Amino acid sequence: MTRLRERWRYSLLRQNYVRFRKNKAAVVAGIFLTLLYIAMLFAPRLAPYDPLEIHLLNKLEAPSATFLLGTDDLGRDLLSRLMVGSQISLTVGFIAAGLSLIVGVCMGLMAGYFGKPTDPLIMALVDILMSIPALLLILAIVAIVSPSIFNIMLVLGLTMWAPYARITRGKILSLKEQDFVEGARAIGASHTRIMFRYLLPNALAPIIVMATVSVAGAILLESGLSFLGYGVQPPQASWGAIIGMGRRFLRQAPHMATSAGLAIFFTVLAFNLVGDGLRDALDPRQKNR
Amino acid sequence: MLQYTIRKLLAAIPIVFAITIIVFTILHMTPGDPIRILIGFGVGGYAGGDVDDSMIEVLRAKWGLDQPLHIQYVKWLGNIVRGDMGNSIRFRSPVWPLIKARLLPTILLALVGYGIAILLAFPLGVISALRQNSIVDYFSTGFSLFGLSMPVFWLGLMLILLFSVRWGLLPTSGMNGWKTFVMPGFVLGFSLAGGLTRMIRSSLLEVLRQDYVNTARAKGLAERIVIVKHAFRNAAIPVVTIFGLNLAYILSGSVLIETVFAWPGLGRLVFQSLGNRDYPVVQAIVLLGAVVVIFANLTTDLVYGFIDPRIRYE
Repeated sequence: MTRLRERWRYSLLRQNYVRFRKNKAAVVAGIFLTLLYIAMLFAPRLAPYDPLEIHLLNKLEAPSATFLLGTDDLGRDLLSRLMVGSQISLTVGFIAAGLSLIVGVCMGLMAGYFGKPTDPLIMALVDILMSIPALLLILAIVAIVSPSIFNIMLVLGLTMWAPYARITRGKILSLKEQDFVEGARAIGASHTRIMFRYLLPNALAPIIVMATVSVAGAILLESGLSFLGYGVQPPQASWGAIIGMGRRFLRQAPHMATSAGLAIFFTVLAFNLVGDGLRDALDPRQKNR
Repeated sequence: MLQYTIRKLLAAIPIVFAITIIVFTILHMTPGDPIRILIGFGVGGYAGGDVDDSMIEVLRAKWGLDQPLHIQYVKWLGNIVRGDMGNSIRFRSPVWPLIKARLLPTILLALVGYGIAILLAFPLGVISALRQNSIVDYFSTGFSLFGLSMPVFWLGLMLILLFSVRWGLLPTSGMNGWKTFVMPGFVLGFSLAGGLTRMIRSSLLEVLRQDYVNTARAKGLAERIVIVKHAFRNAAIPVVTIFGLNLAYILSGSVLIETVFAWPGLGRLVFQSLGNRDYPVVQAIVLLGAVVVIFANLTTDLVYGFIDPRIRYE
């Protein structure tokens, strides 16, 4: 136990943690996100109403004591819909960003480590992906595959990996000439081992920072898709879809679009704040940049 | 320089080629038969009335939809190269005039948006770099975080709610006089300004730490001259770099913004065409977007040379 404490005391993780803690905004945002994700898990139980229950007599009602955030066009409780809808928005954001991280990091590792002819091929793919305007590409694909939550995560993940590949490759290129890699090769480590045990840990800082920011990006993209009607289909509703509905009733029931948008805004803002905090903590040279 | 330009242009060809294949394949795998939609005039693929199958076959042959995919692709590519982008199935007219009519509104919106972004980001970024940890710096950090975190379509709706619904100051939709530019332009500009402010701030901070800036100060130049003549130029490079990426973002964002404000541009055309399964139009616009982004990136590459003469093109 004492040894463990000793190890923690001098560990890199602790140093990073101490630096991260200094950024109050990032800490608050991190706590907010943790609570948000816990609340998301229990959303169906915490929600005051069944999000699909229709109260036809209370259509488009403004926020009140009965319906804290008001009701939608079918008289469904908006707060409950937002809470349950968070499951879609937050899961899609998280999984899509995770998928793009895995794909992008592997691509970047291979491109940077193997050099020609793998490198130019992968980078050409990256160039292609980065030149097609993201939302257009995703819209075009989602129009083919049915817009289930699984497909949307898959499509987002497979179109968002290019920046990861670029940043990983750049790091690997500068790392692979260093002595410790030469050493690993000399003791007979395999390519996979060198890539994942020697190179990747040293390239991790910018990847972690990018990961938080790309969850934010994925949540924004998903909300845009849902807003246009290409997200998960009704009666399920992600935050973007609720705004899309609210747009039709903007005059009679402005609370619909407003509350769902605020939910997206604060979540994305929190991810960006945590990303900033992590950048300062993990990459001190980047600080004040 | 000329050689470099030509080589870059040649390198862009296989990329454009690959993009044509991707775009073509994606849109032809789409379920939902465009012919049935055309007849039914519905989005859900509802075939109206007593249209028999032979009629559909005839129409399909007329549009070349009965041929194998690779033949359709070769034909389509051949036509594109000759400047013929095919015919819209929904509008029953050539694609190019349709696009041309929507091109100007999108370009104008992009220009206004980019202009607003620069007007917001440049002073904020510069002042926050020069006065680090001042009130302006904190404000600008907050501002750029807001810009990066705000869903554009929601910001658009909120502005409509305030300026059109509540105060009745600005029109909600269409492109008709300068007033209609205010909200869409601001929304686009605001969403771009977030990233731009950060970029300007960080690259200027980086440059201000360099030795030659110290030298310039040490030899007694006025601070204004140090910043304007020595620092700005070198800080501009990363800012110019993201222009190409910004353009891709503008094209994506324009789908959302144009839908919110019923803007008669390409973004809305793409959205409508997707709903109608009007492949040729969507293909043409996605392709056009990708090509524009590729050339924008090439242009920024070349612009470096003017900003920083040290960069040599091999």
